Amino acid sequence: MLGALKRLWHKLGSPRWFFALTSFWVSLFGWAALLFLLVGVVWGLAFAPADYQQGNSFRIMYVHVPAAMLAQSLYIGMGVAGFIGLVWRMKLTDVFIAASLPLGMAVTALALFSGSVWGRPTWGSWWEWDGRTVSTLVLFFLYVGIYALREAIAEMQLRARASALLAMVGTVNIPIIKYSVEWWNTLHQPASFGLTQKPAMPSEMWLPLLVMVLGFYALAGCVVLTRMRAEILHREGSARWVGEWVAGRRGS
Amino acid sequence: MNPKRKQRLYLTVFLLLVAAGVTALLIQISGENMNMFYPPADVVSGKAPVAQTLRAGGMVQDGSVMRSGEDLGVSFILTDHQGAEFSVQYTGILPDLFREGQGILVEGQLSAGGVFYATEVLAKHDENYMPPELMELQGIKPGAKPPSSMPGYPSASPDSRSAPSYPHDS
Amino acid sequence: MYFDSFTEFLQMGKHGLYVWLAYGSTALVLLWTWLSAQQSLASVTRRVEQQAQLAARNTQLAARNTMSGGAATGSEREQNLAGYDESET
Repeated sequence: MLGALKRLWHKLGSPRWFFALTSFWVSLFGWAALLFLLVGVVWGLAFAPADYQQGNSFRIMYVHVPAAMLAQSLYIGMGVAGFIGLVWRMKLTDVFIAASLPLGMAVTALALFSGSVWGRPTWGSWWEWDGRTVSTLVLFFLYVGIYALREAIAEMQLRARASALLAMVGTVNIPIIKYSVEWWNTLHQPASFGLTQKPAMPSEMWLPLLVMVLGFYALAGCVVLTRMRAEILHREGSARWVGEWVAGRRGS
Repeated sequence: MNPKRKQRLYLTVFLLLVAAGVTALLIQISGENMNMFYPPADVVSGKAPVAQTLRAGGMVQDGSVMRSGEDLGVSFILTDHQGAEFSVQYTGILPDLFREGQGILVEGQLSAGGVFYATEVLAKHDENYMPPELMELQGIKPGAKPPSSMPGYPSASPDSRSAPSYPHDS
Repeated sequence: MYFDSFTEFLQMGKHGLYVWLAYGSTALVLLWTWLSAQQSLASVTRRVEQQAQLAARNTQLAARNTMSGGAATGSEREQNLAGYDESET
């Protein structure tokens, strides 16, 4: 049992094995994302009822909440990858960090933007400096910071360690984002949707949200795996298995 | 685990703990400043500075909203339903969600007389969402209203929270 | 359908601008993340293929010149990249 686990661990460290395995998952996640996002958008925009107070601006929740959740999840993933990379020196963790950065930055920006567009009609302001908005802005700067760090360092090993360290240390911001609405007086409302609590809305409102969240995560699976495949090919360009893969592609 | 890797594990965990510790300390120090607004209790007790731009928040007291006839002037009372309340003067456009019983944030200056002269009014909505039809259904049943949450009042009890009434217009 | 007509759907009460702005930006950005990921994989694949072609031509040339040569460094490199520091028991 322990031996099998250990073998799996070492396999996980092998880019070649990873590359062969993920081809299937990329298309599965891609199609799942397309399906969930289409269903979720139509449901959330046209079929879900409006809120008794906010009216139709409440529908922005269906893009705002999944983007914010994914932004934080991806960062946690990068932090865990950073930790494993620092201790076990596993190459794939750096590939994962590199592949997650563009998507993480994009969805954090989306969460900030859609939140701003939602804040205008409900709060009466595009932007307010409260605990939740500031900590999310910090998350965005962390993504940008790691990206800039990677651009600045050419030496691969140093780059991997520096970004792993920053990714890992930056995860202390995640509990701050989560609990900001409870620790401090904020304008932002507390979470109405989570893994552990009952949603603070009827099912005809939260089911489309669930579909959208699944769609965002499936898209993340597809995009991150695709970028990881590209990064692996880029790094292992002259390895024999890549040559075999190319030959196999041409043959088929 | 080989000794070298173990050493790296300890070092990494140590670094993480240091980072978490420093952050927790920073949050502890900045504590009060991280709050976005003063609750009514702080405004009444004089904890909020006078003649200085600041933010205060509370719920609009039922029946306290008075509009002046000619301009967009409006005055209302913000309360925490715990006994602390103060009156607000404002001239300008109110946000859509402004109504009696709603959580509201005001930015402006507190006069020595305890009146808050607001230059900006923001609506704070809660995390509960509800279709209008369902709201009407629940509005018939007394006490079935969703709680309007206003974090920042640690002592707010559930029965005092059900005090704000929701409008049945709109 | 929650709305009575298509115009009503577009207007979203009086919040049409905000709702469509949020959904439009999300659609654009998500599409961009997907496209850019596909594009980066495609460009790396193209480059790797060119390299492989070049290598194949070189070995052919080498064989024609009856020189014993090797493009055998591949497997070494592969092992090297599979994660170093595996010296534990």
